[in-house]
Amino acid sequence: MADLDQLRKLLLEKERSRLEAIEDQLGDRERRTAELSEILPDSIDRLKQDQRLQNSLDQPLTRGIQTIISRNPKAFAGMFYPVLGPAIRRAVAEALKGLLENINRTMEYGFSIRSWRWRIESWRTGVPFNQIVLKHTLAYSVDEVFLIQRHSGHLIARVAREPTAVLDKDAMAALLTAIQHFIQESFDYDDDHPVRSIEVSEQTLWIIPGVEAVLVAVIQGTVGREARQLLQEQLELLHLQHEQALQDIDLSRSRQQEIEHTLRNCLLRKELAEASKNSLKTMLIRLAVLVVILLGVVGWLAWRWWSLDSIRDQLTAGLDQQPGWIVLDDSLGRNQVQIRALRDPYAISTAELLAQHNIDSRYVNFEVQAYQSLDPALTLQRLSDAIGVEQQYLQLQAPDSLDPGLTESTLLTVSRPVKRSAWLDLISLSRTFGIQIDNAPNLDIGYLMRILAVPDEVQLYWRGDVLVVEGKVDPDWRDRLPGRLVEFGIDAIVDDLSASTYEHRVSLFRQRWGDYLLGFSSDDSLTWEGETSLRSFINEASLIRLESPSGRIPYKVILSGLTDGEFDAQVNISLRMARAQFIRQQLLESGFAQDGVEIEPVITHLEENNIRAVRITLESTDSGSDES
Amino acid sequence: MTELIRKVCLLGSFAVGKTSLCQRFVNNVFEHDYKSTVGVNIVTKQLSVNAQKIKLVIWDMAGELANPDGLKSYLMGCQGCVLVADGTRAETLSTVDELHSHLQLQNPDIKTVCLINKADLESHWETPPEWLMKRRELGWIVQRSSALTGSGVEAGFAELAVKMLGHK
Repeated sequence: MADLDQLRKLLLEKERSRLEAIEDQLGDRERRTAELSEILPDSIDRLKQDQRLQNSLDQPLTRGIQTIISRNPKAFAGMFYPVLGPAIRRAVAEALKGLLENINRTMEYGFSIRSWRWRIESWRTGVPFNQIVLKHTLAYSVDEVFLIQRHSGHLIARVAREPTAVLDKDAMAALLTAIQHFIQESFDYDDDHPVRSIEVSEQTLWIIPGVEAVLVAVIQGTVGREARQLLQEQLELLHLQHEQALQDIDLSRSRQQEIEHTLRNCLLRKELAEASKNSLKTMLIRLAVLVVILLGVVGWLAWRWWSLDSIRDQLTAGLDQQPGWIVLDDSLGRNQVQIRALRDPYAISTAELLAQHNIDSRYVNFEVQAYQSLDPALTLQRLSDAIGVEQQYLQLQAPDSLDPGLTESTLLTVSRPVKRSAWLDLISLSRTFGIQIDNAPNLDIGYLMRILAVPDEVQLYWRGDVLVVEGKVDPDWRDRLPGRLVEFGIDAIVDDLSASTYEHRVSLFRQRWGDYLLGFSSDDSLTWEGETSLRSFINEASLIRLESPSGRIPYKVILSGLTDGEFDAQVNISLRMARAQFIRQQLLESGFAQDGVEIEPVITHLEENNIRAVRITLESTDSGSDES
Repeated sequence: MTELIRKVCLLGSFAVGKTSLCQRFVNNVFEHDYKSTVGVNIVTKQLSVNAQKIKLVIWDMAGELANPDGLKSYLMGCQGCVLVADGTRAETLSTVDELHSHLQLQNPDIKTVCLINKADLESHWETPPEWLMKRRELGWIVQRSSALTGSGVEAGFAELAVKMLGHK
């Protein structure tokens, strides 16, 4: 047995020693751990392409992380803080940008007719209004997409909607990367602030960075944020499917084709479908609107023409009825009725004519020339103004009643005495109008001297409207002379030069008019005698004024109204005042000074009844010589 | 055969002739007017190296980017660099040295070629022969070039392409 052990020892001593060493090694946990830590990295490196290792580690790692988080969440929060902060900021910034775009677009389309149509659509479909706006307004096309290695600038793949003539896609990819680098270096931006877009002419280049690769989309038109989201998703998908390939610089053709296939999903396009679909409808609506507008314009023009034509008819008919108007021509202008006519200055004016017919003066243009009408009414008015005699005292009588105009046989009758100059004017005008004056007096001095039985030693002659009497005259004859002249229709001032001095004439004036009654008839107008007397009083006062050094008569005229007992006292007081006022007005109009004529207070004369008259009394204004 | 694409950066001090070398290599022209490059100028050139088509995407960097801090992002994904010095300005050689050291630190896999430009200005030459010898001893590919005459330009880029393809 001992020999056998000895033999075994001799034969297996070496293996035994090694076995014991191995047992020691396996039994020494610390040593085994140290050895494992040496070989573990190489083992993982060798197996990292092996999916089995990932599967094996998946569940224990996940459970382990969950356990650690539940035990010590603060530590994990601290670890993720530097990553989560920028990520959250970026997400919030993206959301705000999208919101701002929506607001801008909503504001832009907020108050148009189209917007109201979209609001109805929003209300009908329940889709928010801003989304409806986006749906109708966005039209874009992603024409070309580059996938570029993020750091090196190598072009991984490129797809385009149409074959485009990009001169050198590799140079372009490198250049886009260089631009990114240059801007980040120049402005000291880190990778969290990449260049997001570049605008060139009408194209926009969107640059969407991924971990390994950057996606660059060349876009035409207006594109919303949701398109960026879609592109981002495609880029993430590419990273998921081809993470390793995105880092390689020498891609196999097949792998490149796979990437291009995915990349084609990025060639997004959105058209304004409504525009093409509704083009015919839109055209018809526009046509209809145009027709309506045209009809409106034609209708308005027709109405305008009809209105102007009505105005023309109204005016021409009205003018035919108006004395002193002769229409030569009438026509319709662009916006006015054109009337060419002759008008007598005494005929109705254009303004009065338009007012009579309620016509706006903007619609009528008168081209008027003056002429002298032979219409009797206008002629009377003209004669009245020319000779200063009221129309009521003039009368034209046409023997042929069928002819309302003036003829050679038309007779003019003057029914009150007028001055010599007025008679002379009338005679002249009657020759102009070709009419006859029925009762024209003979103003010839010889005739007057004979008819008035003027004594031989007395001379008469006209000085203007003044009949001058020169020579020794019987005072009674002289006093009757104005009345005789009035009987002939002549309203004349008699200047009696026989009263040689001014003082004498003043004395005669006072003697005659110092207490005089001007009679009133029952219709409360002056009687014939009263009127004649008033005229004489005015004429004589005028002569004295002419000679007076002060230009005034040396008396103040006091007027007192008188009444009969027909009405009660109150009415009579009013009547007296009215009569006195009437006379005063006549005197003032004939040249008396305001302070030269006074009205006696009525109440003091109530006792002098039973006569319809105005009493004239004269009060001397020359102090110390008041004889009244 | 699939065309390979390689990113090449052209580095060096101000006015050493980087853009002129680029123009000579890509378009075979030389412009006498000096225009300073702002940022990066990018051109491409296709070559065939041992029947392998290769497209060089050349990043012609502005001189002010020739400092290590400014280069970091531009050099990412770069497979080859042409380091350019002006043979008539000795101080530009030290920039090349600094750039080479920086490249080795950032990415030792980047292949480099050094072109000492303006070889046509022989009378103004300031590059010490020992500098050239020492760099060649260290395994650099250093060549004299002239953008004006075109000598050494295409050869330099071709050398770099060969190195990038790992044929040598």
